[in-house]
Amino acid sequence: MGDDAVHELTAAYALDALEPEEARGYEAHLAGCERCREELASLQSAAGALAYAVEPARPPESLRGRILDAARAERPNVVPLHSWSRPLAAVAAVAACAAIGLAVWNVSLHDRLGRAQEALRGVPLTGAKGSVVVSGGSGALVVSDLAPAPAGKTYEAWVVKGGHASRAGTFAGGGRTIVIRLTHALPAGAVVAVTLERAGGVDQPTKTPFITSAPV
Amino acid sequence: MLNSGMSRVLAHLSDEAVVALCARSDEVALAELYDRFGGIAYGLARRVVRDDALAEDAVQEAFLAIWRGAARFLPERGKASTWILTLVHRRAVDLVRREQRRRTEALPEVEPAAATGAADDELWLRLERERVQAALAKLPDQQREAIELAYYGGFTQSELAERLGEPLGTIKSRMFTGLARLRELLEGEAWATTPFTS
Repeated sequence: MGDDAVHELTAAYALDALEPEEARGYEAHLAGCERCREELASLQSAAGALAYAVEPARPPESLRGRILDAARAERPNVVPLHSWSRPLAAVAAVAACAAIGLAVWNVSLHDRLGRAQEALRGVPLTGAKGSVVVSGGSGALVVSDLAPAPAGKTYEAWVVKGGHASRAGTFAGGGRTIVIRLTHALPAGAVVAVTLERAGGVDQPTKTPFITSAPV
Repeated sequence: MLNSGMSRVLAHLSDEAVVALCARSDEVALAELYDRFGGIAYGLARRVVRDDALAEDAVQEAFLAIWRGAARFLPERGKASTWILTLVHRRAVDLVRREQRRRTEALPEVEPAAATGAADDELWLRLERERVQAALAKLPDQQREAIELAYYGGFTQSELAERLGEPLGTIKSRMFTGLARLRELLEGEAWATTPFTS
């Protein structure tokens, strides 16, 4: 595509009227074209004004709580590790989590480093690269190369014990390696499972888990 | 659980400042953004997807995108309101394209969004709506048609060319000229535009 042809796409991009592949091409162009960035910012503000021509409508009361719950579930428990560049062995996961664990769990470096490392165990996963890292009665899920959850969906982790599944956190996936601190206690013999659920998560799994751990 | 009463402690802050708080994982800030933009976002999403449940999905996904992306919002690139409504529109368009349900169904009746807070918010929204509608009405018919079908109908430029039986270049040019003109009308400035030509 010639440069002029790409510039012409600015208005259609601002209106979200490009086919997906055209939009990606335009975004790639945008990164290196100051003229288009300026033009887009100004056309986008005109396109944004079109939203105000529509009469506002009152969303259902429940939507606010669902959004806030989903946001809360998502943010604090995911630690992306961009620097990791090799497949994850359970041993590497344990070593990494000993380090991350200090930040995630606020383990005091002062006198507990040795004990923390000693107490961390890795349990392998089926269905994805990674492991469950167990420390005392709690744990974290370490997963590599997990595609981002599709729009409108979220990954949800479960602690399964005695035929009962308990919610253990939702996460979006993506990135090279992510660490998800499980929000549910991890009793001995439990299995950690992951399903793909609708955004915001559900109280009980509705799908067959596509990632499962060995018993911890 | 957060409630509106709590979130309104941020009511005096600019949209941009509230987005900055969101970037620091402040849930009260996200609630404040929802209270400011939830009604306009839901109205826009319904207009595009023409289905209440899908509109809720679009709004939810957009606010989660705001939550995840707040740290990447750059105030020097544009207003927070534009950024937020762009995310809402994009999710709505994505959903309507995926569902292949489109634009001909009548909109179900819905309760208009009474302002969650002050009457002056409501008045401002009504004035803004009249202002944008008046600007749209001043566009030449073919430009307005291209913009409305794209933005509210969720049609891509290629689909529009086919639907209207016009060359793609004509559609692009109508969108560009129309949107640039709309910008001038809204800004109240008579800039001379120089549309890109190939």
